[in-house]
Amino acid sequence: MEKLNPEIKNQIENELLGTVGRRYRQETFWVFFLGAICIGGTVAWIIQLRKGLGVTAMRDYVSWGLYISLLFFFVGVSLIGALVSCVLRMSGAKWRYPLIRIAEAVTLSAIFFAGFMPVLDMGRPERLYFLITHGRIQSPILWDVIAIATYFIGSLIYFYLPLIPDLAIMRDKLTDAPKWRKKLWRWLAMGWEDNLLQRRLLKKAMLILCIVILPVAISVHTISAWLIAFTLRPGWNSTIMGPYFVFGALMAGTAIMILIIAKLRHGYRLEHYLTPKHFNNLAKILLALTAFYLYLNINKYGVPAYKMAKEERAVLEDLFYGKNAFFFWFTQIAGLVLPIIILSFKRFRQSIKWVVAASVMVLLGALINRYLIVVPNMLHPFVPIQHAQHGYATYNPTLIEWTITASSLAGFVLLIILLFKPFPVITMWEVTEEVEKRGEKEIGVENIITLQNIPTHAS
Amino acid sequence: MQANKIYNFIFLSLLLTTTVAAQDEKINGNIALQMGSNDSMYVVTATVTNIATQQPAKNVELTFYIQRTFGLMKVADGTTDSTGIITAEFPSDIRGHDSSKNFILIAKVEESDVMKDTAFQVSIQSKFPFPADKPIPRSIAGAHAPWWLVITFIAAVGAVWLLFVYVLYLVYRIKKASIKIIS
Repeated sequence: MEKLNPEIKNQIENELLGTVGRRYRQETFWVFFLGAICIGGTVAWIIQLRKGLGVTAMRDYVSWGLYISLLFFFVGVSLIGALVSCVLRMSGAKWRYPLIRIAEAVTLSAIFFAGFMPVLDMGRPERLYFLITHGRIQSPILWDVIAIATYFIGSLIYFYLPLIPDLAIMRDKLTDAPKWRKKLWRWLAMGWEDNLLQRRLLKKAMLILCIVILPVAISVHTISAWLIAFTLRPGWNSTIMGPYFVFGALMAGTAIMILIIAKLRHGYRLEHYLTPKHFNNLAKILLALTAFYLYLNINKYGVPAYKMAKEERAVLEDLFYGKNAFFFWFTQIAGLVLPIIILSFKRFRQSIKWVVAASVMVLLGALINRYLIVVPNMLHPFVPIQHAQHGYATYNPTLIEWTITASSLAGFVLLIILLFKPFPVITMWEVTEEVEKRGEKEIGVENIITLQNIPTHAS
Repeated sequence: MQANKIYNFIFLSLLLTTTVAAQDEKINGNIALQMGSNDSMYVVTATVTNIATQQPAKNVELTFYIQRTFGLMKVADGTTDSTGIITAEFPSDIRGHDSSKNFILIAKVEESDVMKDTAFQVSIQSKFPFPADKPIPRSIAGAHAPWWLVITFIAAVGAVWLLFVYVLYLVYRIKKASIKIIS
């Protein structure tokens, strides 16, 4: 493929830079709305800190409620960065390039809040310090804290590396930006001049990190699974938990990725870069993961259900036709079976609306599934507490818990939005480079070579 | 109305007196334990007598326990015959309670209609010591992490963080590779 016409390259960069620092009315509304929820959550957290965990519904039976369910959800969603940046890279999928920064932003935001959830679950968060001073290496809780911290730092570096050439473009092009911004871009661009040695070093750094981040990502999810699988409880006492978490994470991460690129495509007018090809390919991945996750569910619930051992019976009955039956069957049918049926048809896969609809179902199912993994199992321990006080053997989250949980979800989305304010959504240099090398079709972008006909956002 | 109250009071008083009298009717007993054994079982013979009359106490329910670290383990129970004797068996492979192989057998009368609650015990030497000769090795959840876990953990986490540092070093080299800065 011939080199792109400098004018066209310039147009592409201008268009993609058009989203940087620009205020969109709808986006501003969402920022304020999500910010308000976050403020509400902070107030609720202050109340919880002052009055103690007694303001929550967590008692002796259910000591991990909504907060830890959400921890597992965030940890799961954060795997999308490793999927797009590493798995797709290793599989040679060129269409991944426009998605890399979005995936890394989702990962960064998710893993940040995943690290925050255990703090919310602690009545005395300052005691986290003792985990550092008195942590036991044989405890999965210490492994989890270290794995999450490691994955966060790794994701932060991976978010930064492909940003370096883009920061240099911003440094050179956005000359009318505020001084502090220009200073920041200059500092972060690391003197990037796009020379051969710099390119070689950057690609080497990205390759190393790509290889390292994958086992780290898998370890984060596996250790989170071990937190519960190492505990002798009905429902948790299973060897399938590690892969169950990893594939559930990949599935939820892909679903949320589809939803976010759908929103960004429309909101930031990135139709040329986030095309039906990306949705179709992600839908195929989601289909495979959803089908495999259904298979894992059959194993996880079907095998003990066949045996109906005395210890497992109560929790299985609770899920199959008890108090949590509606949620359980929702996760299985609406969260897995229906999306599989929808995504199995090429016609639906090629429709962005249908792919988004299937992703919403998968994501909702995954979110509820995390709750079902945590709470019903805690309500049915091997050795029940004798003469437990009224309310100790049930779990109905309080308003404080709902507020903090909602604010964590709002904060997760808000952080993704804020990450795209100072930086372009699409990796400019990689997309233009790959279009030059392989053409638009393979990268999945559309009509960017004839971009001069398209009205630009750039000021 | 007043008459009803009086009758109720009389009835309750009578009931209370009867109950106290019934409690007083229970005898103070003595239990003599005699141990024997066959091939696979210990045989314990308990003789229960009324302390006041020195006569055998019949129809006394007796339960036999063995003292364990965190409680009593029930091994047999039964009721004394007309001669005040009860014979019970329990397995002879019961482990001792301490390193001297001793264990304690307790015979208890609990909530009997005939005799007040009482307990007698005897120390018996078992063939098997407890704890077992070989100490049970600690699992991974013990007080100290095994060396292989410490090394594996530090090596895995250390390797990842070293690679992070190396990647940041490459970023530093990117800055150094800037021709403008060099020139």
